[in-house]
Amino acid sequence: MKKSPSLTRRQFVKLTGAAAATALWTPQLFAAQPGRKRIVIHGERQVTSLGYHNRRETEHVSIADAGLVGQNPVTFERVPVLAEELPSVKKGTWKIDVQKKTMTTVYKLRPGLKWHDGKPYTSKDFEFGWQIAKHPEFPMPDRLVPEMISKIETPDDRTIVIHWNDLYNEAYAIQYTHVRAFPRHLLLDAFQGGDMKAFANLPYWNKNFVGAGPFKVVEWEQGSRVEFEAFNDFALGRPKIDRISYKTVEDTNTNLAAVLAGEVDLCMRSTISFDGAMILRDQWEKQGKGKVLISPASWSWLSLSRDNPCFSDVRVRRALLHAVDRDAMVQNLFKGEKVISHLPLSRARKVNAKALAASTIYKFDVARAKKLLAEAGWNPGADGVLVNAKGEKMEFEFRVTAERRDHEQAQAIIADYWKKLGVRTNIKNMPNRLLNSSENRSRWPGAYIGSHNVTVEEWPERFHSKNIPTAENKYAPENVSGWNDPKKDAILDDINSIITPEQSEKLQIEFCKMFSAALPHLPLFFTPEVLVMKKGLTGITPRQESGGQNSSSWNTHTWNKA
Amino acid sequence: MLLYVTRRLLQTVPLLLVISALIFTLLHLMPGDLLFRMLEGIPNLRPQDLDRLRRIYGFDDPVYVQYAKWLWQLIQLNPGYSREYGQPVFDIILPALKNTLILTIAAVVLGKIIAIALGIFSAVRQYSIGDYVLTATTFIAYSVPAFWLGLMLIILFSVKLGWLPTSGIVNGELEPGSWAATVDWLKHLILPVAVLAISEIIQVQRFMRSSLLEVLRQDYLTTARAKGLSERVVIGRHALKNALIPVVTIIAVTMPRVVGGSTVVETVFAYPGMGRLLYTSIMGNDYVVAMTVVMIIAVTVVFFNLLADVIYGWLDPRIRYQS
Repeated sequence: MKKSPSLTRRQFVKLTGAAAATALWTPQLFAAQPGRKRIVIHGERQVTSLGYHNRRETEHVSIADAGLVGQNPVTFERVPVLAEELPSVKKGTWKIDVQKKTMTTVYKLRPGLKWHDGKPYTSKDFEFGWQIAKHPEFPMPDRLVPEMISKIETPDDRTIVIHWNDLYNEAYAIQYTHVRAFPRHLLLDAFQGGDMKAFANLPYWNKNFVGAGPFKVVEWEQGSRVEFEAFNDFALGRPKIDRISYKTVEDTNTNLAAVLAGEVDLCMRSTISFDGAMILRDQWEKQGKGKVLISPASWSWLSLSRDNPCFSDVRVRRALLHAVDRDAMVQNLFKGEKVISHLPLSRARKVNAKALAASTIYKFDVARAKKLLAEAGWNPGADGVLVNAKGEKMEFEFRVTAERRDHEQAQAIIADYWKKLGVRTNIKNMPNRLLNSSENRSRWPGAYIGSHNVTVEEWPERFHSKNIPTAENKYAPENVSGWNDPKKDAILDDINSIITPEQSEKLQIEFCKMFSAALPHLPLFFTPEVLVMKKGLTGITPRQESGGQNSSSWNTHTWNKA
Repeated sequence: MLLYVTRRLLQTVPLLLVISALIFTLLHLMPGDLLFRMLEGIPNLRPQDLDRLRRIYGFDDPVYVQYAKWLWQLIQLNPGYSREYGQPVFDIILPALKNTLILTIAAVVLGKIIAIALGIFSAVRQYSIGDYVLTATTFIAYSVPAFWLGLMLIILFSVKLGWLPTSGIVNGELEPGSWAATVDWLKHLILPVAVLAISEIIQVQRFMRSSLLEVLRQDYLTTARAKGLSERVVIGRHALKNALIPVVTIIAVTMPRVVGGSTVVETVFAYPGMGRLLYTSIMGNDYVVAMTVVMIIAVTVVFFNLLADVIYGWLDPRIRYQS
């Protein structure tokens, strides 16, 4: 009987190995599409929406959509995007009636603007976007700007006349986060249908998004990945990159591995931890594989409870700041990155040097700290803990967010410095969601290390007396320090009004001077923000401060890949 | 049997109601504002905006009203919209469920086959060098956390060797459905499947070994051997079926993980499955999604427990259910 031909064991192993190897390498062969430029971005935050509502990030939105005006996150300069130019008082396109507190701004759209689906983008779309934003049943959280607009006129397809019912110094630079256009041809029927719940949950806002930004959405895998393709008709010219793949990877260690494996072109904010950035500098940047950029973005401060009588005397607050060697602390925490902070003002701002020169700087000086405390009536007791004339001890609770490693480390260092001074602290850390609850987000019995954006434009929200959280305002406002000073409020009112840049600079210096004297918060450091980009990627400008309209993806159409 | 199954199914209705009420209450007892994620980084937020958003999302209703509304919608198989994603809940859950089923079924099948084989080997060759090595390896592997193992595999296979992708599910540039895309998808699956399969092996291998050892000491196997049956037949045909009975319980208990996914593994590998969805929805206070995911897992637990009881009867004729 003839035996049928069959594979030997060795032949089978060889064949299987060859098949596996081919399979493993096949995607690489197919992926290499000559001439096409694709970049992969890893982000720690999910892309959930590109609309006004839900949780959205400026980084994602500015890839797919654009506003009338954009903002350079390094120079803070406002640049026209869909508008031809910025309205100006000189040209008569920005009219201000200070008496009546009303204004009019006129924007002219660039000619030939299109939506991603090829339909014309007109002034009526902008008016429609405003109608959506101010609809009471539409879940847009921040409606400050939409509600300051009383009327929008559209005399022709390219002209937008905005009537304001209040004075607003950013009226000349309306960005997509304030008010933006949405395509009437796609959304008008649903909007007029009246079911705002259904309208707010349309697939348009994410997977079917049609915008006017440099890239259009071509694939949307919820919570995981979004694919963007270059939009040929973008107002400022076709992007140089053909495709952007945005992937959400929450785990910072996985992101670090992805960079080391060469899978990622760009990691934006919070995607790589500070410790991860140090590893990359050592193992990756030195080999010329890319750049690790660290910018001091948001501001970390220590706040002493406004309800605790221990801290009502400014000398106590000054003493507690003098007692901490912040230079050594920052050196220790951030491996030599110069991110120490003395003021709630970004180092990138032009006025920073002048403001520092005019302000009080609290250097590490234990003797001075002890003297100030003694002047305030606090002297060491029998157990070494400071005690005042009433017999009250300088002992209080000290909170930070449990998941924030830099704050936890700073807390330990500060508590140690204070202990040497005779101040006893009881550590009580809480998770972010608990600290940010309405019960805790603005109240703590002792000390708390927090952080927030540092943009000058947000100062009034952070420091104006009208924004002190109370039970009446449901603890929603942001002046958590409780700093209450009419002179400072007057400066903040003026900063927010229509003034020249020179006047604004003077006011900012004056504000910083007052801040350093009153110390509503003890300034600690600017939290480093890490941006990692692979070799060959150009045009990316890491933002220098968080908040406002600052976004590192403000100019994606100019990004390029060698 | 039919009567027994019907009665058990009817008993699950009040059980699931209690579970749903309990989970709903627990989720609402969690600290933090329900609008927390939306409020983050918005300095201009005013009290009237808070009130407006609470009303729009129905958070101003008493908790029992919110529960009743959610339950009624769930009964109609329309649990509403996700607040975080702005999409119908099932539109978010179904793709995640599909991804998780692919991942966990692959891991469970692979893991269980290997575990049963290794368990048999260990039992048959008790106190051999192979048995000692397997026992030691199992104990070491048992103490290794999944996230660490995942990262180590990423470092080895992605960073050092460059063979496999670190995370995600597909390379977005490839044509969906193409051969290259399919192979790429399989490559993305290898590491998370490996981590989950290792955890399956650890759990089941020890049970299989001890269960088979117990059976191997039974008199009827001595009889089988005395009849002259080969060792392969004795173990394969006579011992294995009985040794599998306790293992079935373990398998049934672990089956809800097939649906619920693994939060840790899915997060480390950025795998868009149910575990990751549950984690992000809880962290984002997207409780409609979180509740629905938890209810799906609860239904699976109840169903597989029932299935395990039924399979018991099939595997062991001595077990009979009385209605």
